[in-house]
Amino acid sequence: MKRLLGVTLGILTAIGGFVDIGDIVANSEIGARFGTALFWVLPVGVIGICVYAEMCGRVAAHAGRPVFDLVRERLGPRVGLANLSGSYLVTLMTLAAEIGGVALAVQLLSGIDYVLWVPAVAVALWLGLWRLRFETLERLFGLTGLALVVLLVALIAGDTPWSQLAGQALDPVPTEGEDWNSYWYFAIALFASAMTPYEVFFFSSGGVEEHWTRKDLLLARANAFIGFPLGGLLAFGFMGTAAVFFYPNGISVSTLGQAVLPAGLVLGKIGLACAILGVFAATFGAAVETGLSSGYTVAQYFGWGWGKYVPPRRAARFHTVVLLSILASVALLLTMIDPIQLTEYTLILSAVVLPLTYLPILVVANDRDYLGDRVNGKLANFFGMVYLVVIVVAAVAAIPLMIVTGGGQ
Amino acid sequence: MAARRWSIVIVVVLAVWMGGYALLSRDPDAVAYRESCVQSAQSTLDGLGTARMATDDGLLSSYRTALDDDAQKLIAQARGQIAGQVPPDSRSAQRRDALLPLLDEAERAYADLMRSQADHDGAARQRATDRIRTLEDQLRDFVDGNR
Repeated sequence: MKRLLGVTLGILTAIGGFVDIGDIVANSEIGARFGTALFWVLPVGVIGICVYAEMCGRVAAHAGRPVFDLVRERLGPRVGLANLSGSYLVTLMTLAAEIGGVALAVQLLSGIDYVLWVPAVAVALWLGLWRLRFETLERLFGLTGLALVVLLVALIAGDTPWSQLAGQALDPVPTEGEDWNSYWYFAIALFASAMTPYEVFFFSSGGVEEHWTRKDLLLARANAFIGFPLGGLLAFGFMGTAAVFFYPNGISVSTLGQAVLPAGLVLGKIGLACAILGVFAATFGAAVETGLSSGYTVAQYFGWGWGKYVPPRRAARFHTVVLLSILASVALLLTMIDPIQLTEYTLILSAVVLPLTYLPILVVANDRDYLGDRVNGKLANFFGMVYLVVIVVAAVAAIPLMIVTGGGQ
Repeated sequence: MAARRWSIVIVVVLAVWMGGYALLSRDPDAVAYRESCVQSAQSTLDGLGTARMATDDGLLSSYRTALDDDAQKLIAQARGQIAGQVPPDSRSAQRRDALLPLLDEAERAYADLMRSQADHDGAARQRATDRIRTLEDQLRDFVDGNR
């Protein structure tokens, strides 16, 4: 019973923890511009993150070490450094975007400009990372993030033209006024939002933090194969509601306030409050994950003590990196860059560095020295290779499409 | 050898700098001007549509304030997108002449909507909302006709 509760809790946490500011922005923008014509990218991205998260979880459970740690050991410091450079930069920008997202959510409830909330959010984040237990952080924000289900409720309760949405989803071509360049640009952005590097590093390091062993492989797989797809369903709530409320009126979504508006229009103040609370929890949870991931990757590369499960004095450099990363993120936000715009740039940059993240994972997951007889089977390698090709194509196409479309304009 | 390398580097840097300066300081061509007009109309449409939807009574007041601020920024930045740009040809000038009245009307309609909400005047709010719906149609037509 206790084990079942643990698995259930883990799944629920993964559902709420899947959505972050990148998913919210990408899904809302795409729903407003393309309806559901890009719906197919969501399951493609979710399957991809499931495949690689399962590998990372398996590595953590069998080797007792996080995947980034093994990448450096297995592939050498140069490859590890390339991996670190790309993923740390993207993680840092993502951290800034998440902190900005939290501040925007607080602005929606308080009416006070988000810039004034940025330092307060950063302090709350750092205090939470410093003082709260790993499990507490994960479950508090993962479970509260489930409030985003209110957008799916709004779709079901509202006057949703389901046949129209299905028709758009089954006709995956650019909508009127859009061209193939912008279509593929946003497809890459949405794909990148599902597969941002910090997710696998956090999943792997988190497994070590929670002392996963071979017996916890079921839990790891349940989190990945059930939690993430259901999290993708939450993300679809943003795409679907934007497709119903904004797309028919030709209105683009460029603010967080617009993204949650449909919940208020259908379900009133309670629905709106739930949506904003869900956004707050999802983005704060993602800020926790990216904050920890920034520390994980640097500390694991240099072989420093790391993690919340060790006393802070034994992981002083890890906590210093986390603190400096938060400060750098705040500095970036205080340049008055729009957090939504920052998120869009981060998604494209994320797409470019994806091969640096996922290729080493595939190599480590096939290494018998670390995994014994639990290396990738034929199915895992098939999907791993297919997704690696997709990732490389997305990485190559991302910047040219960004230039040609003027950043999706 | 080192001096020759440095000479090449300096020449390349100067060429890139001068090319960038020429690119940024030239007047926009007709395509770029058309894109600016379309983005301006789209931004206005986004702001007006959001402001109209935000009149729903089922929204939290603090949220409505934030949403109205977003709408105001979108409408304000719409004019900024074509402000100071000189239409490069007569077709572009026609495009500007068709767009500017819509932007003026959008600013007036938005201001009237905000005033009606502040005064809790239901009738005035309805009139402003109806004007905004008409403007949204006109802006959509402009965007679709100039893509």
